[in-house]
Amino acid sequence: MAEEIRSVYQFDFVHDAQKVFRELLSAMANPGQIREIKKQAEKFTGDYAALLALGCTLLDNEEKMYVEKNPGLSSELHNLTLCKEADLDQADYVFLSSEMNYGSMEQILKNVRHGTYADPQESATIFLLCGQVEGEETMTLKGPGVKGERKLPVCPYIKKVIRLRNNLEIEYPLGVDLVFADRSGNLIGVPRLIKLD
Amino acid sequence: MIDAKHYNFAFLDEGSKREIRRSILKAVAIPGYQVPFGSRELPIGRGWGTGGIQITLSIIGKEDILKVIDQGNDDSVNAVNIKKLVGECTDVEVTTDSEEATIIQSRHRIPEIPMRNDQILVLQVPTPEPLRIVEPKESVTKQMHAEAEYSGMWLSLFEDLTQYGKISISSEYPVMVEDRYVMNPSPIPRYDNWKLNDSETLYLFGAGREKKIYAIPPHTKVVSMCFEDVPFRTEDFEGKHCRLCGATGVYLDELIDEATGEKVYECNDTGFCKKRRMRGKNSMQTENMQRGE
Repeated sequence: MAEEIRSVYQFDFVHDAQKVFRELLSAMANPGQIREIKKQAEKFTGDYAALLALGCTLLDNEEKMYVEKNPGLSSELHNLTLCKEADLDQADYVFLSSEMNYGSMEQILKNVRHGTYADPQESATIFLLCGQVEGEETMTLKGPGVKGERKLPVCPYIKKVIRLRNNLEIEYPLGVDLVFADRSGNLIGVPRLIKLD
Repeated sequence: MIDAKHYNFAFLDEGSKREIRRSILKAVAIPGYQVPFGSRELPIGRGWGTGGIQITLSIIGKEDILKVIDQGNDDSVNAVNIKKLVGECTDVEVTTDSEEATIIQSRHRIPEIPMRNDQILVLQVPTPEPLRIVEPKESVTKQMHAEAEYSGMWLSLFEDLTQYGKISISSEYPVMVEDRYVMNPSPIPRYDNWKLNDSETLYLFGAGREKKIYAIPPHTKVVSMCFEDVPFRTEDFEGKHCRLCGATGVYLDELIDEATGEKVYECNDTGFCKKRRMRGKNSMQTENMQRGE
C-alpha cells in the first residue's frame, strides 16, 4: 500500500508565500509599521521560522544568499528554495540569525552589495533576526513611506544597525535595504532612504 | 474558477511571481526608479496592460477584492477582460466600488475617492521611460538616470513652452520623485498628478512590453516638473458639472448631446458617479418614506 508523503513543514509556497510577501511589501512601503507573519512562520519549526518564511517567499535558484555563521539555517534555506550560497559581497539576500556586535555589523554593511548608479536594484537586502522587535528605546524614522515622522519603541539593536547604516553615508540611489524580524513573527522594513532622526 | 489542476493560483508560476515580487520590493525601496524584470507571456497582447496584470497576479491573494478600471470606466473591454482573467484564475471577489477594493488596477486614472493606506493601486504603463522623447536609446537613458542628467527633459519642456506658450503635455506629465528620479506617471491626466504626492496609498507601475516595474510608496515627495515662473497647471473644469450626478471638482469627460448638439459633461470615474447617484436615490427614497409617500 502506498504511503502518504508528507513534508516536514506545512508552509504553502503559493498562499502562505503570497501572505508573507504582502506583509513584507507593506512593511517596506510603510517603514516603521510593524507587520506580522506569525501564522505563516509557525508552519516551520525552530528558532529561525520567521527567516525561513521570508526566505521561502523570495529565494530560488536565480538568487544568491549569504547566511552569517549558521550552516544549519543555510542548508535548510538551500534545501527549501535551491538558492545558492555566495560570498557576502556577491549575495542578493543576507540572513543574520543572531545579533551582531558593532564591528561585525559595520563590516557586513560595508561589504554587502550597494548596487551601481545605473543598476541600484543590484544591491543586497539584509534580513536580521532579533529577540523582540519592540523594545524600550524610542526610534524616530523619516523618509518616503513615513508621514512626517514615525516614533516607535524598538529594541536597541534595531536602532544601532540603522544608525550604523546611516553613518556609512552611502550615496542614494545606492544603498542597503533592511528587514528586521523577531521570533514572534513581527517585521519592520527599513529601506535605504529612511533616516533615523 | 478555471481548473486548478492545469493553472496555478493567479495564473503565473511561482518562479515568475517571486521574480516580480523581488522587483516590486526594490522598486518600493528606490521610488521612481524603473526596475527591469523578465516580463512573462500572458493570454493577452503586450500593450494591453500586461505589466499591470503581472503585478496584480503576483500580489493578489484569496482574500483580496479587485477593481479594474480603464479610462476611468469599470465596463470597458480592457477592464472587463482583465477582471475576467484575474477572477477566473484566483476566484477573488471583484467590485466597482473603489472603497471596497483592496487592489485597484487602472489604466489612465486614479480614482476620485482618495485611496487608503491598506489599498494598492496598480497602474498599467505603456511607455515607462520619460526620457524617451529626448533620447531613443535605452542604454543612454539608463545612464542619464544614473547621473540624474535631466537637462534634456527640462529643455523639452522649455521648447514646448516657447512653441505653444504653455506646456502642452496632457497626460504622462513627467514628475520628479524624491528630488532624484524623473518618472513617467503612466498616461494619467495632469489632473491626477497631485494625487501621487504624499499619498496614503502605494502605487505600483507595471510596463509589460518595456519590462519595467516602478513604485511610489505612500508619503513620497512627487513634484510635477515645471518652471519657477510657469507653474504646473491641471485641466480646468471651472463652472462645469457632471450631467448625471451633478459632481463638480472632478475629472470630467466632454460629450456632445445628440439631441441638442450641446457640449455636456460626465464624470470620467464611472464607479464614483454610480455611487453618487445611488446615494442620491437612496436619500430620496428615505425622504419619501419619511413623508409617507
